[in-house]
Amino acid sequence: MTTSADAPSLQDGSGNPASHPPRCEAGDRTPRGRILRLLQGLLPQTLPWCFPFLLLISWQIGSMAGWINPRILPSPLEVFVAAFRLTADGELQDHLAVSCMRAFTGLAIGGGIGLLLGFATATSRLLENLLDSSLQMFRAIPHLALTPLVIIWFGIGEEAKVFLIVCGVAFPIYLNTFHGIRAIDPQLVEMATVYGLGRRALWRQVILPGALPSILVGVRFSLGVMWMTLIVAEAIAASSGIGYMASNARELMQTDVMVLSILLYALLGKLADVFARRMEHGWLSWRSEYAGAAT
Amino acid sequence: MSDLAQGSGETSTAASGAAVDIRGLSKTYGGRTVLDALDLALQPGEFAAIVGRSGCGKSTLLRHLIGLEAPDAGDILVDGAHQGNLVHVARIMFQESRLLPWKSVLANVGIGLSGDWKAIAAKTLDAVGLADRAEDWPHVLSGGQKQRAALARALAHAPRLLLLDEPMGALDALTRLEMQRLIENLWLERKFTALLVTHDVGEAITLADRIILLEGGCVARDVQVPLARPRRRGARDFAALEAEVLGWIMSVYAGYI
Repeated sequence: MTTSADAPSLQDGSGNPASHPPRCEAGDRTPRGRILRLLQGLLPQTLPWCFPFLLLISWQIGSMAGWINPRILPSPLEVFVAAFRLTADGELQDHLAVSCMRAFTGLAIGGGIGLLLGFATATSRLLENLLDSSLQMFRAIPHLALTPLVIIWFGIGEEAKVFLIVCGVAFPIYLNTFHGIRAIDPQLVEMATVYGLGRRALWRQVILPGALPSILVGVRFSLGVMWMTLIVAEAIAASSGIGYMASNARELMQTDVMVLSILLYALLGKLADVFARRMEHGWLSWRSEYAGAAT
Repeated sequence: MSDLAQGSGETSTAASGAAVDIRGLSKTYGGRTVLDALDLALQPGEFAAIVGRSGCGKSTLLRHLIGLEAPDAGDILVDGAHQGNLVHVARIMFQESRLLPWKSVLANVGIGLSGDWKAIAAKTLDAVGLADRAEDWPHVLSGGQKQRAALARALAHAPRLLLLDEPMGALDALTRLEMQRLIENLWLERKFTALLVTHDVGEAITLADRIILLEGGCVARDVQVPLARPRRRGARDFAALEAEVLGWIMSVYAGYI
């Protein structure tokens, strides 16, 4: 009566998922079949770019045909030329580097504060009672409303911009960390305690991974807030950065540079989003919606 | 956890079962008595089953034994020594598998183990017939496979007492029979003491040496099961005993309506 003898029969009964049978199209070796398969493979990657590409083409045609006044909206080609010119100067890279530095410094500090506050209030009823209602009240203030005050406090130096970003990103991360931890299945925590996990092991193996999906939602939200705050802060009070480049261009009526700045923000926002998605795929590969995506 | 961690390092499967003596265990929730001076003694290596209608305190008893709840009064002795609860000698299997979704099946089985946990976990997974699913995420397993992984997780600690809180309650009939056979075989092989809580009288008679009827928070009946193993549900003496136990439960139940 050994279990090893019983095991295989049990396994058969459970039914392992069968591998997919080969598709019929895979055997289609005609040129037509090959082209079709190539298109099928490319379609998911090219489809999202169709609309931006069409927009760009019609915008360029409109500008060339004289339907769009170049003083109001320059053609894509002009924007491209402006980008080239500013890159050749080294000006664009400098502004970009300064903006990114501010953004990620603010995100790191604000995110850190939000994370720590979330951990503290989610694990201690006392701290929740003490802090949560104050934090909720503070959260109700649009952080950009602080801008005039912040300029008085910090002038137009780096601190002002970083401070505003810190205020903006801390709350989404705080809220999502708090809810992520509170939403962990108490049954799993019970299991972990009766299976001998100490406090540290419980945090590392159960609470942090359990709260991670929610924390990452907070991070994605914070990334949006981060760029938005940066635009406003740089346009109002700065002597460098993309926002400064845009507001400076307005003074000089350089519409091409203004459009370039807007496009840069769109690009940076998209990059941040791609980065956040990568994190989700890497860290949340255990979730069924990411099944197979990480491998 | 030191004694369990050491126990798990042993390659021998003959870890002896714990002798457990529960004396006067009591618990009241807001005026409602759930455990009423409950006395219960388990012999080393014995397989006992607790049956009773829902709300009789059978799951509550296990939660007290494993230390998830603190009793108002009472004493728990393991091999004659006083213990607050059984968390140091026992592992529990719940009705839900409670596998951590972010850990592979192997890492789930190895939870709480120290030292060479991978080897121990892999060996135990093999014993429940899940060796080939070690690297999978829990969400791709079927209900029966999840419970087998949960059983492996409990047995990986080489517990001297295994508490089973209706672990087959949510499984379909065929998977339940497979699981019963697996538990019986592993129990015969490893000789731990087992305490099964179930609402399925047939399951209790299939597995247990002893059937304990819990009612009103204390032991109402306590009988030995004199049948030879492996037991067959169709057999006449099996059916007779099943009818008798059901009769007790229903008569107690009838007294309440």
